[in-house]
Amino acid sequence: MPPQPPGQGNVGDKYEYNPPPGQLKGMGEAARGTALVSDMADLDLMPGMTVIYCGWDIDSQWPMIEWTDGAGNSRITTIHPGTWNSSFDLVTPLCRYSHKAHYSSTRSKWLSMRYS
Amino acid sequence: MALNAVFLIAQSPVPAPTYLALSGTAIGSLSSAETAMSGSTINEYPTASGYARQNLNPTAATAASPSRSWNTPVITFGPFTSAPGTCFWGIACDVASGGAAHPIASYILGTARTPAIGDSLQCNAGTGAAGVGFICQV
Repeated sequence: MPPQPPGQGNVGDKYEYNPPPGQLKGMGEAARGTALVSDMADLDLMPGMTVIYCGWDIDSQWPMIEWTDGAGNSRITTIHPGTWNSSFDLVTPLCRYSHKAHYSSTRSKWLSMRYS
Repeated sequence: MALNAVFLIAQSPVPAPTYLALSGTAIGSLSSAETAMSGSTINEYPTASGYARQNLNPTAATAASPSRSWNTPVITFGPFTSAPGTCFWGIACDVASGGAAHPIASYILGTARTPAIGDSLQCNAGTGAAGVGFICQV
């Protein structure tokens, strides 16, 4: 795996799509420059939607986000680096630790909890 | 159970996610000898367009003869921020991005599609019936 391109976040972090003021459009609509037909508008990435940074495309180096559109479809989209820098705000950093707990019903206590 | 193996559902060598790519190669020009998504006849959609490979989430293969496997969710690409061209094929592969991914199976689209800028491209969830979603059978 090649190194991560600069200026991108941590895999798993949540971001919110907030295009610049005055651009109250979905990302696809903004790219086209005119309104989308209604069924396409339902599938557009709209301002205020939360996305998860899930890595970068090896070929184009563009950030990749996983998100759920207005119709409930989970999907992955590549984002132009300039748009990524200008229109996506970090919401919740990925929790930097994980824990694994095992519960014993017979001994009624946590047997182990491990942080890494 | 051959489909379970090639779609990495079963351990052969190990279960793993699979992804669906889109190809602009004309019908009749996609070589079955390709071993990587960087192959000269694959012609995958450009990723600098909003396009990314999508999770295929194939079903466990049916035991009946012929054995079949198909996509479980609706699959949606885009929205495209630049025109990606016309696609004729869906290609299942084993890595989310990059030319080193290995093609697993190719699916001819019932109708070639040319999404415009701003559009999304969507495929139905499979049901096991011919012509619905991406279905592979051996």
